[in-house]
Amino acid sequence: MRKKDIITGITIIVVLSALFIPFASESPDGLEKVAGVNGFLSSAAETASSPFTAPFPDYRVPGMGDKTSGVVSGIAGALAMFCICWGIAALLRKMRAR
Amino acid sequence: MHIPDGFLSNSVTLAAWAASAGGIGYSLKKASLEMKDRTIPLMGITAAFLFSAQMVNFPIGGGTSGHLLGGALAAILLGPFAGSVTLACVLVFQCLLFQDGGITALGANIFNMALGGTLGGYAVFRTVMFVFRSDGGTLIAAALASWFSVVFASLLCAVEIGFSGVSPLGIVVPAMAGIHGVIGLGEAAISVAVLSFVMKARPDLVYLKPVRAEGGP
Repeated sequence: MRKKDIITGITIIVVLSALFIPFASESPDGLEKVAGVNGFLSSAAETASSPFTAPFPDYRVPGMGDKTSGVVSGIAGALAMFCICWGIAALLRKMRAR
Repeated sequence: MHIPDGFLSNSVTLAAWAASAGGIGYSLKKASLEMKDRTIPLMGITAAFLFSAQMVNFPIGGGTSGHLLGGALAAILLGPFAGSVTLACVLVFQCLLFQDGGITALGANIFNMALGGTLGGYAVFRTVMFVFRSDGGTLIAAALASWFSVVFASLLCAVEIGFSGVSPLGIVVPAMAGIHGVIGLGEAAISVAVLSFVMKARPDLVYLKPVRAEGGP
C-alpha cells in the first residue's frame, strides 16, 4: 500500500463517519430486542454490579451533545484503531522475521 | 450483538474466555506467519473502518436495528487469521473505552464475532469461491459469507445465553437467528459495496492467494 492509498482510505473513513454516524438508528440492536421481548434485558442491569466503567460509555464524550459525541468518538476511535492495528500487524510481521 | 455484563453464567463466561484466548493465540501465530508487508497498513485501515462502521446502526423494521460486524469482510481483505485478530482488537477497544459489550462478556464477544463470525464467514467464502471463480463470483461469495457470519455469531451468542439459564434455548436460538437473518442482509450489502470498491481501486490488496494458486483466474 502506498502512502496515497492510506491517506485516501483514512479520508474516506473520516468523511463517511461524519456523514453517517449522526443518522445511526437508536433502536435496540438484535440482541437487545430479543432480550427485551423475552424478558431478560433487565438481567444486564440487575446482576452486573458494573465491575468496570469505561471512560466514554455509549460513545458519549463529556460536555458534547449525542450526535457530536458520536462523530467525535467515531473519528477519534477510528484513527486510534488504525494506529493500534497497524502496530500489531507490524509487530506480527517482525515476530516472523526472527 | 455485543453481550453486556450480566447475561452469561460464570461457567459460560469462563469457557468462552478460555476458548477465545486459545483461538486468538492461534490466530496471532498464524497471522504472524502469513503477514505480508502490504497487509500491515491494510489491517490498520480495516480496523479503523470496522470501528466507525459498527457505530452506524441501520433500522431493520420492528423497532430494531443492526450494524456491520465486518468479520467476513476483514477475513476476505486480510486473510482469516489477521481478520480475527483485527475484530478482536476492535471488540477490546469498544469494551475498554466505550463500554460497548461487557468486560466479563468480552471473552464471549470475541469468541462469537472475532472467531466464530470471522472464521466461519471465511469458510463459507472459500467454499463458494470454489464454485464461482470470477470477480462476480467473489462478490456472491462475499455476500453469502457476510450473511452467514452474522447469523452464525448470533447462534453462538444465543447458545451461550441459553446455557447460562437466562432464557430457554428453544426461545432464544430461533429469536436470535430470525432477527440476525435480516441484519445479515445489511451486513452483506455493506460488505459487497466495500469489497467491490477495493477490488476496483486496488484489486491486489484482496487476500485471495490460495484460490488463485489452485488455478483460478
